[in-house]
Amino acid sequence: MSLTLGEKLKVRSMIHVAAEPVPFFWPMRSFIHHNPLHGLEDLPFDKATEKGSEIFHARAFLPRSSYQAYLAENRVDQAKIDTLLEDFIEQEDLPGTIDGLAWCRQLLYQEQTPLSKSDPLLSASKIQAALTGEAPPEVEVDLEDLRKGLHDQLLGERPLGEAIDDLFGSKITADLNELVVKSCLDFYDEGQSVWKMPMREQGFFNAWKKLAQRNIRFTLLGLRFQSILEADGTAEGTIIHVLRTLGIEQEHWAGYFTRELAQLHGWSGFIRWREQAKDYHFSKIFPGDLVDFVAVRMTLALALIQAHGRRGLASTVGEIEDMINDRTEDAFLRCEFHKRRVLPTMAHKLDVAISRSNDDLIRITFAEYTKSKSIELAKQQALRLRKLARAIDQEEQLAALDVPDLEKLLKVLAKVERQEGMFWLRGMEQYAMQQLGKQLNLAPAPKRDERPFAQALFCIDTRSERLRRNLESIGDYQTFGIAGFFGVPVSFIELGKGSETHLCPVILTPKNVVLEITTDTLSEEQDTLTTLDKALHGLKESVVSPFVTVEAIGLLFGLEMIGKTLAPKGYSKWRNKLINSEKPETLLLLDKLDKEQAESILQTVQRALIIKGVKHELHLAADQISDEIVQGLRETAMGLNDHTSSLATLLKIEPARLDALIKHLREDYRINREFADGQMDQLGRIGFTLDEQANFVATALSAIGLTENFARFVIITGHGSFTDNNPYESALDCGACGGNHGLVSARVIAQMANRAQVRSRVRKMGITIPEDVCFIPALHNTTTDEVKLHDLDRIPPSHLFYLDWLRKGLTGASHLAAQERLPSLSETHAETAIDAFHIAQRNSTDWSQVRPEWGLSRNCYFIIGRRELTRHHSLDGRSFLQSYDYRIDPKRRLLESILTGPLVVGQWINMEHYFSAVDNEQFGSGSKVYHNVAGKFGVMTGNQSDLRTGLPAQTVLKNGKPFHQPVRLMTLIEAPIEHAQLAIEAVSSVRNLVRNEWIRMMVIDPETGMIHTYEAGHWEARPLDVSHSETAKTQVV
Amino acid sequence: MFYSDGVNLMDSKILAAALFLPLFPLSILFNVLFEGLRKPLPRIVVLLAWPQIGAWLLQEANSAPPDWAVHLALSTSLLYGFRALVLRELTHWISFLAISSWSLLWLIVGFFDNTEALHLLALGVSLPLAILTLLGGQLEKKFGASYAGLYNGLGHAMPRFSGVFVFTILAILATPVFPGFTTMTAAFLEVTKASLAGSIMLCLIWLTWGWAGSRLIQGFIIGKEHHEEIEDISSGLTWLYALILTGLAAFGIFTLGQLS
Amino acid sequence: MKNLNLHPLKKLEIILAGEHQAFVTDLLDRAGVKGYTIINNISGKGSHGFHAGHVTFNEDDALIMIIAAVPEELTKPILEGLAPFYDKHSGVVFVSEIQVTRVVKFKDDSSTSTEDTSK
Repeated sequence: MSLTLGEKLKVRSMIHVAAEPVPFFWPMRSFIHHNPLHGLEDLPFDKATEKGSEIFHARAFLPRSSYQAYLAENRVDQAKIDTLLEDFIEQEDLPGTIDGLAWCRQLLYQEQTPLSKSDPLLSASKIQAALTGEAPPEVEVDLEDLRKGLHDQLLGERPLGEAIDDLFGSKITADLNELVVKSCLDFYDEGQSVWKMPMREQGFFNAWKKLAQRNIRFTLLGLRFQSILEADGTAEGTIIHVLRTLGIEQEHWAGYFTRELAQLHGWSGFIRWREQAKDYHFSKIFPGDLVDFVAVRMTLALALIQAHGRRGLASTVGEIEDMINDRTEDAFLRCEFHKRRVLPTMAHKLDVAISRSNDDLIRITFAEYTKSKSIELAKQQALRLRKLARAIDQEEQLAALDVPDLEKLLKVLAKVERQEGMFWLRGMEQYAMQQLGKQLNLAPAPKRDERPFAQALFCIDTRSERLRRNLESIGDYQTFGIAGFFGVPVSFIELGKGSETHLCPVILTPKNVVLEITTDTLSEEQDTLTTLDKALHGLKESVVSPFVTVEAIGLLFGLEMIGKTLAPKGYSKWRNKLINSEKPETLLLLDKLDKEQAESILQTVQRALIIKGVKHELHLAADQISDEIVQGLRETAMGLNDHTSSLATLLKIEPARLDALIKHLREDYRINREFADGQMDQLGRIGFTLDEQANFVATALSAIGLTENFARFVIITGHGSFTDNNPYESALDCGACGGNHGLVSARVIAQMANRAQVRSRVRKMGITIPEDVCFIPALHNTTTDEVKLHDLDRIPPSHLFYLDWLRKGLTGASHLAAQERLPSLSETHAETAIDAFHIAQRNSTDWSQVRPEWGLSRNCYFIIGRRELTRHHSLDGRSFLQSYDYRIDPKRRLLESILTGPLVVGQWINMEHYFSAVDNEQFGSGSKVYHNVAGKFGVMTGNQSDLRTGLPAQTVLKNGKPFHQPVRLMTLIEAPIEHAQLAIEAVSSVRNLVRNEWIRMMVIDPETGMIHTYEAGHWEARPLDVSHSETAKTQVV
Repeated sequence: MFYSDGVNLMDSKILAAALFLPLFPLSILFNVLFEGLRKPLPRIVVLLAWPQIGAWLLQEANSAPPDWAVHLALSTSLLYGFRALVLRELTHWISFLAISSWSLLWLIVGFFDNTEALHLLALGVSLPLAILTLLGGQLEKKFGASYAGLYNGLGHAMPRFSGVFVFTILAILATPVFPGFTTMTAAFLEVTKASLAGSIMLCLIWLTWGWAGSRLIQGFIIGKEHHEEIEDISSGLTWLYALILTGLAAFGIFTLGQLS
Repeated sequence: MKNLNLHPLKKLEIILAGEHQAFVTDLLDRAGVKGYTIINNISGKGSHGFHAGHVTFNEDDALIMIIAAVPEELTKPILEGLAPFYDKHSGVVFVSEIQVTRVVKFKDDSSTSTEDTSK
C-alpha cells in the first residue's frame, strides 16, 4: 500500500524535527566547535542536560570525586553550595530528628560514590530491618509493579532491538550499528577509498537497497530484504512499513526516531549537516539525506530482528508485551541478567534457569533471586547509611526512624544526588566569578601624552590573551580584541585552488568573493613537485601499492619517517628548502570590477581557451594562430557575428571541420553565451565597493573603541595553528574564520584600511585616520606563539626604521608567551624564554605529538569591555577578550552585534569543551591514539565505529583527569546596566541563552560601581570590591 | 582388589587412572568434586595433587594404556575443550580445561624415558590452573563472583591484575614456552606416528583452547567500564605472580629439553 | 494581450526562523510546488515574544516568510507535512484564496494529478 503525499511529507517532517537534538557534524577540514546539546538550547540548562544525558547515554557532569578534588584545591565556593543545599532542604519534607543539611553535606563532600540506588527490589522496609538488625520482612514482590517497570524500560520509544537485546542477550543493536556504519562509509566516502560504491548518484537509499540484496555479508547473517523492500520502494514508505511491522505505535514514532538517530549521533550529525549545506559538492552529486539514513537503518533493524525471530526470539512489540504480561518472572530475570544488574553470586543460577526455560525452575529461581538480592541490596544500603550517620553523629536518629520516615530520608538523598551536578557547577562558577571580580579595574586609562608605539588587533580567542599581556608589558603597545574575521565575511579563492572557502563564522554566508593573484609566473616545476607529492600520498591509499612500492620507493618513505621522528624540526626545515613550498608573493583582489574590467577579463580567459582548443584540435603552433583567428572564432562561438567563411580561409580547413571546431569550442570549452553570462555574474561577486570597504573599516574600529589616537603601526593579527599529522588541525584554527586561519581576513581589512579613498570616506563617518598610520596584517601561530608580519612591501619607507624595533617587540612577547604556556604542555623544562620557544616550535613539526598545544582548553570568561578593565592581571589564557567602549555606542548596535556573533561563537566553544571534558567517551571523541580518518571528513575510533564528535581526550584531559575546568561561560559586559539589559533583550538568541542559563551573565556598571549577576531568573546587584571601585566619574578620561 | 593376575591389575590401575587423569564419564565426578569446593585453597590442592595420582597410577601400570583409553582421552579432551567455549563461570572453566589438558597426558605415557617427566608435566599443566584459581578467588572477593561478562573493563580498572590474568591464561593455553606447550608437542609427536585423524583432533583441541581462552579474556579484561571503587592488586603481589610465571616458563623450557 | 482568464489557487504564507528555510523549501519541492518567493528579515510578535528583524552577525536567527501559490489538492498534504514541524517551532502558516492568470506556472495540466517527487 503506497503512502499518500501528505503521509510522506509528514514522515519527512517528523524525522527532521526528531533529528534536531542531534548536533551538526562539520567535516573536519573545517572543524567547528559547537554545543553538542544545541538542539536542546530552548530548555533551561539543567533540564537540557537531563534530557541530553538520556538521549545520548552520557554524563552531563563530572563524577563526584572530581568535584571533591576541585574542592580540595580550593577552586569551589563551598559557602555557595551550602547556601544552595540549605534552600533545597527547606523545600523538602524531612522527619524532625534528621539534620538534612548535615546529611547532604556529608554525602556531597565526603562520600566518594553515589549512595542512592533505584531498584525495584529495594524497599525501605527491608533497609530499616537491616539497620535495626531484625529479620527482613517477608514482603511479596508485586508483580504488577514489576510489569509496569519492565514496560517502561523496554517499550514505548525504545528501539525494539534494544529491548530484544535486554531480554535475550542478543547483539542486535551492536550488529545494527556496525552494518549501518559500514553502509554509510561506503556511500558518503569523499575519495578516501579506492573501490567506490556504484550507483551513488541515485541517492543513498536507492543505491543501498540495490546492493543489499546481493551482499554476501548480509546473507551470511541471515538477513532477508526482499519482503521489506518490496512493500514500498520509497524511503518514507519503507520506514512506515517497518514501524508497522514491528508494532510501534504512532505516538511513539517521533521519540523512536530520535533514539535511533542518537545511537549513531556522529553519522546522524554529519548527514544532517550535509543536507542543509548549500553548495557542498558531494551532497550535490551523491544525495543522501536523513530520511534515507533512517530508512536504511530501519530496514536493517527489521531484517536483523526477523532473522533472530526465525530462531525463536520475540520479534514484535506485541510479542514482547505478551512476554512481559504472561511470563513476568522470566522477563524480569532475563533483564537482570542481560543488563548485568544481576547479583554476582546468583549469576550462574540465573544463566541456567534462563537457558533451560523451564517454568518451574524459573519460578523457584525468581523467588530465590528476589529474596537474596533484596536482602543484599538492603544490607549494602544500610551499611552506607550507617557509616554516613556515624560521621555526622546521627546514628541513633537513623536507627529510630520508622519506615515512612526512612523513605522520606531516602527520597531526599536521591533528589539531592540527582541535582548535585548543578550545585557543584554553581559553586565552581561562583568562585571563578569572585576571582574575576577581584581583578577588575574600573579606573579609566591614564591620559597619554604621545601616541603609542603600535596598536595591535587580536582575535578574541583565549590564546591571544597571553600574547597581548606580554606585548603590553614589553613596550608601549595597545592591544584590542575583535572577532577573528574582523567583521568582514569573505569567500576566499586561494591561488591555484578552484573552490571557495568561507572565512567567517558558520552562522553567516559571505556575499563577496576575494581572489588571490600573483605577479610571479607559476613555474612548471612547481607542478611536477606537487604532482609527485600527491602521487606519494595517493600511493599510500592504494591497495596494491604496499607490495609493489616497498622495493621501489620504500626507502624514500623510510627517510621521511625517520627524519620526522628523530629530528622533526631540522627535517622539516630541510624538506621545505628542498621542495620549496613557499608560496610566491600574492595580492588580494578585493575591489569591485566594473563592467569593462570584467568583460576584459572574460575575453582574455576565452582567448586563452580558444588558443588551447585550436592547438589541440588542429595541431597548430601558437604563432600560427593569429589574433584575427582568435577574435573570429570567439565571436562566432558566442553568436555575436558569423565569420565562418573568412575563418575557413584563414585556417585552411573545410567548412565541416570548422563547424566541428566551433561546436567543440561551444560545448567543451564553454565559449557560449549562457556560460559567459554566468561567469559575468560570478565576476560581479568579486570584491567590495569603496563604500562597503569604508563601512567595514569604520564598524571594526568603532566596535573596539579605536577611533582616535592612532599609532604609527596598527597590526591586524589573525591566528592559526600549524601542526603535523593532526586531523584536528582545524579545531585549533580560528572559529570566527570558519575553522581556517585568520591571515587572509587580516590582509583584507588591512588592505582596505590602507587605501586613501577608504580613509576619506571613513573620515566622513567620524573617524579620522592620520596619513602616516600603516595597517599591517600578521599571523599569530598559536602553536609556537610566533607572530609573522605580512605584506611588508606596503609599508612606506619612513616606517622602515621602526620595523626592526617592532619585530623585536613581537619576538620578545612570543618568547615570553611560550614560556608561560610550556609547563602545562610538556615535561621538558625550559630555562629561558628562548628555549621554551624552540620547544614550542618543535611541537608544531612533530608528527607524533598528540598535544601540540592546549588550544582553547580552560576557557571560562568572555569579557566585553575596555582593555583597561583587565589589563593589570593575568587571566592565564582563560578569557575571550572583546574590546568595546559603550560610550561610543549609544544605540547599542555594536553591542548587539558583538552579542549575536562573537559571544555565540564563544558559547559554542565553551560548551564543546564542557561536554567533552565531562564525558569524553560519549560527547568527546576519545583518545587520538585510536583515531582513524574516515572518508576524508571525520575520524572513527579503531577499525570501525560511529564518527567521533567533539574534542579528543588529549585536548581536555590530562592524565585522565580534566584539564579543562568544565564551567559555563562567564560573560562580563562593561556598560551601564540598562544599556546592557536592553541589548540582551534585543537579541533573541542571547536572551534565551541568558534566561536558560547556558551562559552566566554579569554586567559591571562603571558609573555606579555595581556588579550585576543574572542568577536563577533575576538580576542580583552588589558593589564591586572597595579597593577597585574608583568609578569613572571621579577621573578624567 | 589387587589380583595377582597381571591383566586385572593393569585394568584396575588404568580404571583408577581414568578417574585421576579424568576420562569421560568419570570426569563428571571430578567436576562435581571440584565445584563442590568453596574456597580457593582446597581447589588448588586438588588441582595439583589429582593428576599426580593419575600419573603415578599410569606409570605403575606395567604396559602402555590400551588403544581404547587413548582414543577416549583424545575425545574427552576435545569434548571438554569444546564445552569450555560457552562457559562463563571461572571455576567451571578451570575444571573443564583441567580435564581437557590432563587427558593429553594419556597420549604421552610411553614417550619419555625417565619416570619423572610425566609427573613434571602434570605439575606444569596444573600450576597455571592453580594460579588462575587464586586470581578467581580475588575476583570473588572484590566483585562477589568470578563470572565473565558480568563486569568487563578490568584491563582499565586493574591493569596489574589483568596482566597476570592474561599471562596465566596464555600458560593454560599451551603457549610456548610454558609446560603445557611441551605436553602438546609431545602429544603431537606421539600421535602423528600413529594416525592422521589423531593429529587433526589435536589441532582442534588446541584451537578450542585458544578460542575459549580469548573468550574468557574478552569477558573480563576488554571493555570500557569504569570500576572506580575497586583497587588493583599491590605491586608486591604482582611481582610475586610475575616471578611465579617466569619460573613456570623456565620450567617449561627445562621440560622442552626433556623432549629430545 | 490575450484574454485574461483567472484561475483559482491557494496561497500559503509560511513564517518561520531562517535556519529552517532549506527544510521547508525542500518540502515544497517534494510536494511538487513549482516555485516560491522568500522574504527575508521580517520581524514580528508571537507567543515567544517580539522578534526583531535585522541581525548583523547571525542569519539563522532572522525570521523569513515563504510565499507559494499551490493548487488546492496540494494544500492539505503540505499542511500535513508541516504539522510535526510547527509542533516544535514557532511560526505560522496562512492559507488564503487567490487567483492567478498564468496557471501553467503553478500547476501541471489538470488532467494529470500531481505526482509525488520523492526519489
